Amino acid sequence: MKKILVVDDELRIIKILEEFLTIKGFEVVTSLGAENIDKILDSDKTIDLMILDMKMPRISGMTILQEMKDKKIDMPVIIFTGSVDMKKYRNELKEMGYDYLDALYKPVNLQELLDKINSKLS
Amino acid sequence: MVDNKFNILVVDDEQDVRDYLGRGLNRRGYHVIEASSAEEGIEQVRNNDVDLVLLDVKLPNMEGSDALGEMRKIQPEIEAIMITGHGTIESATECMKKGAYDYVEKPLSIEKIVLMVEKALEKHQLKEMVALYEISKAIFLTIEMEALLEIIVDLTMRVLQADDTSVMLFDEQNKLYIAISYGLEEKIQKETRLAVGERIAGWVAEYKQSLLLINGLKNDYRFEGVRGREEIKSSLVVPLLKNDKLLGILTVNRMRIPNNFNKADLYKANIFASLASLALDNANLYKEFKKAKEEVVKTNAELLNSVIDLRKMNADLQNSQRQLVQSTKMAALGRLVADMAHEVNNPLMIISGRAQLSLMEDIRNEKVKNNIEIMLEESLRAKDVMQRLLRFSRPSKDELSRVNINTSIAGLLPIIKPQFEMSGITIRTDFSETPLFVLIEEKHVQEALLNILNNAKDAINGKGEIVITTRAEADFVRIDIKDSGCGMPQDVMDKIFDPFFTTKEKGTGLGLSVCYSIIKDFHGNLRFSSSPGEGTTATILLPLNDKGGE
Repeated sequence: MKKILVVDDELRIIKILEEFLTIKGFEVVTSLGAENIDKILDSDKTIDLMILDMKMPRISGMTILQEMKDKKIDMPVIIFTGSVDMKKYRNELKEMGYDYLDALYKPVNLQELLDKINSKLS
Repeated sequence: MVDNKFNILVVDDEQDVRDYLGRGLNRRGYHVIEASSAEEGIEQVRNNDVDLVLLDVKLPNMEGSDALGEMRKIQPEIEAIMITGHGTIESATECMKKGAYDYVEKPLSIEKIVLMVEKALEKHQLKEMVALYEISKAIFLTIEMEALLEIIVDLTMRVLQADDTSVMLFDEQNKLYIAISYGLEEKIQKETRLAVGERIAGWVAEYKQSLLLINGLKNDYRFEGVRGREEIKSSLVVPLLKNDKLLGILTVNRMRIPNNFNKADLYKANIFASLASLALDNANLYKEFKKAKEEVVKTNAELLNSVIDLRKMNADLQNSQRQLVQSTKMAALGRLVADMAHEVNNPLMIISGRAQLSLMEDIRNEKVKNNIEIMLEESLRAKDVMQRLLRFSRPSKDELSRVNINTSIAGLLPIIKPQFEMSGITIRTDFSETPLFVLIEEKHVQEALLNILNNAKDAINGKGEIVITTRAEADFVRIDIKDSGCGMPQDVMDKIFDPFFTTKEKGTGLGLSVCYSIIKDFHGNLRFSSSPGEGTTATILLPLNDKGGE
């Protein structure tokens, strides 16, 4: 069973993804906001993929990605954002090994999200 | 004593007759010259300015009629009264045929003769007046200076029987120059400049008196040291005066014509000059009037030009103000949208997410299922609006490519033509012959073009035409999309770029504002011109990219 970490600052969004992904047979770990991601990533090395919100209070998604790169944590990430234009970070993302085209914009078609997860994990 | 100024020549071989007439006429103010023979008389006519001759029909060596003939050769306008003795009336009538005014029979009566002389001189004057009247008519019919000068010279030559004639006028330095001449060397005409007081014309100008010069300047104390033209035998130099104001000088010379000018000629020249002066004055006034008029017309035109300039400046100013307002609006909107997108998209995610999760359940109640489906659809529509709005806050970051706009537009046409033609709308293209390269993201510009074309289509009710023209214009590529549709009133024109402004029943009001920001992204401009009933033209300007070559 693949394990997915969902990071968002909105509880209701986390809940939706949690429910959906559980139905689709994933194990789901959640983080409300970005403050606890360090701990989660340090303690749980079995996470296969992260769904990461970009615009969160205090710590942004881009900061998380940078930290992960610094810590050499190599993990597929699906960027999940409501308003941030990821084209802006095209070059930074490329340096970190990500593709801005992998970003999904809210509100998202859940089937589309599932397809993307499956393609990342295959 | 009255000075009648007329010169009367008495030719008779009888001393008594000469004395009698001489005394009688002298007393009445005439200047009398006497001659005792035809030869002497002819000589006197040659040397004097004779107005009238009292001529004996029977002279020792010559018939009176022959003598008159000779005199007339010298002075054609000389008047003659024949004196006849007993039995010579036939000779007198012979003279009348030759142009004598009348004849008197001896014994002579001075009263009768004086009356006859007065009448003859009157006729003489009248004849000249008629000639001058004819001249004046010709002069006053002409008001253009150049033409007038020509007429004056031409008439002077004819009336005064001259070999050369010139009219001098004053130049800007108040020097006399030859404005026109007949018979003068071109060099003299061009180079002559005389100050007032200088040479003969200058003398006439200074004293405002006319001159009759015979046999050049020798023996004339007034012109001591002045070298005249040797070939000139006699001259008339007349001031052209208008109310004591000197306009110029009229000079008439005789060189080849055998007879010299006489006082009668001077008299004629004076009258002629006064008529010419009036006409010249008129021509001057007319010239000034014309100049003033031209200046008024010129000033008017300049004024009009500055009004046009001002209007253009005003229009430019309004235009840039509009653009400033537009870009300020867009920037403000961009910030607003970016902030809003987050706040709206999260709830939309929750609504649509919950709807999607619900639809994964086994819902028995069709009504509930339908309701949820509508919620999902509408949340996706809201997402679509948000996506389009985000266009304002997201300047394009894609790679730019160098595109021939003609090819790019041509690529769009197959997609839209069938749909347009079904609505009765034909699309005509008028592309520039040379390729027009621009540096753009092609699909974005195509999106804008499609948007504008769709608007054009919607503006046409029934059959119509859309014309797409491309041209290079200075450093820009200009694309005009002109429709034959209903056009827009000004109040609509003012708002077409405002987000959410729409005249369509089912429009978001984002089409043109998005087009605008797309074109602005590539440093271009989008504007519309339209009036109700006359269709609309959208004009897109994009910087011409002529670097990189072909």
